[in-house]
Amino acid sequence: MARLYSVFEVNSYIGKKLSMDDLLNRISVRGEISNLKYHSSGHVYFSLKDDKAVMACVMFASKAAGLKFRMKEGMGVIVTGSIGVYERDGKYQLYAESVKAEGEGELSEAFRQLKEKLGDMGLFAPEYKRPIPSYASRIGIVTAETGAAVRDIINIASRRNPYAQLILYPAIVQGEYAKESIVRGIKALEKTGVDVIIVGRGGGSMEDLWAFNEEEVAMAIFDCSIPVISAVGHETDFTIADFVADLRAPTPSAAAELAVADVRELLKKNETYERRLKKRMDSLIEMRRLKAVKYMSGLKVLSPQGKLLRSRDRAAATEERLNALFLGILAEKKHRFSILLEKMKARSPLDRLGGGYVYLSDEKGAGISSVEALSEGEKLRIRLRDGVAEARVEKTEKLET
Amino acid sequence: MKKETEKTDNTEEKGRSLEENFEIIEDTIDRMEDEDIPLEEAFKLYQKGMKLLKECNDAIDRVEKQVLKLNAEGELEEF
Repeated sequence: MARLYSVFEVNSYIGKKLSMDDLLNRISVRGEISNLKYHSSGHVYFSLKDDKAVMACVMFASKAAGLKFRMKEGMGVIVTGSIGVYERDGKYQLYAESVKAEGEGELSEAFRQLKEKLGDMGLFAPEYKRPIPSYASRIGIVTAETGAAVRDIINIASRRNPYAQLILYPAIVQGEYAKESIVRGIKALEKTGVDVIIVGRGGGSMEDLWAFNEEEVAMAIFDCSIPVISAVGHETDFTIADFVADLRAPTPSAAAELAVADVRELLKKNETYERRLKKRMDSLIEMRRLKAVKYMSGLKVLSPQGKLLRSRDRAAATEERLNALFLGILAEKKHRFSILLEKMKARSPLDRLGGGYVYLSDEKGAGISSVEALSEGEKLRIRLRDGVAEARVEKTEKLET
Repeated sequence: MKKETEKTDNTEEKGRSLEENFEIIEDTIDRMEDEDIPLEEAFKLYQKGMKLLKECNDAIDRVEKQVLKLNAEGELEEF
């Protein structure tokens, strides 16, 4: 009778056989994830299936820690690992070393997932964004000590404001140690009390920029009490750091422009304010002066001196009017006088002289109207129309009338 | 009581950023736009504005800075 084997021995034997197979030792299998179970121990159990078959898979915690994304039911993946036998159950399974998302690629998948997760946590919410100070005087920079990014930032910042203090935290920005280095840099600069922190690096592949898609970096940016400007790669590169930062700059150069105000503009602004302030004060004073002048002339009108002046003016005017009135009256009187004169002329006795009528007067010119006033020998004056004659009384005789 | 408010005012002034100062100056000028403002008050606003402008000006220390680097010990050294 042939030798009898225990179940365990058979399973172990098959396991050994399989482990000696080169192909099965390192194999990549494409399939869709199902029966996914993230165990509390950190191990991940799942099945890989396609339309014809199913295969059990396990990824131990030590390997699962290296996963950049979280696996999901139905996700198309490529699992690389080895095929081995689980002796207790007599089952073979795929021991996964790494899992890659098929199609979009694993980094894209990881990016999408972290973005979704942090977005759900509210880390990108606008209400958490701190305003970037307009006039930062101390600027922290977390980036590589060498390279274009740091040069660009320093050049632009010192051109815009040479009086601003730049503090660099030389960080590792790609590879294994990058995320811890960037996180340390943010925390160290936060302690120095700068006004704003620029976190970034120059352009590169998605793998090169990966540290800025790490959750730890995102959390450090979010937790930082000082406003953070992200400046990763080129304008077309978007990282998780960009979403969580208080402000995304398309490039490191742009970050320097956003963080550092142009000192010339600042001084100009200062001067403009000073000019406006002075001008306003001057015009307020001028307005008061004009008002004072107005009041003063008003006062002058009301003052006794003003009254006096006005009375004098009125007196003068009245005098003038009186004068005019008087002259008018005078002229009228003159006119009437001349009319009377004409009338009197018309009735003058001289005109009636002639035709035998004369005017008789004594020597002194007094008119004589009666013979009784005459005596013999008395001299008489006889006024004729065209001359005077002297005569002597010879005889008087009174006639009966 | 009054002294206390003045004290807090002073401490606030020290910690004010340039942009906050500019905002206050802007507001000060706005308040002077009122033509009927008593001259005495206008003078006070003017003096306050000029003082703030001086602070803004003084905040720019006009000393060119070397770029500093934080070393592993958390100390600052020249870059």
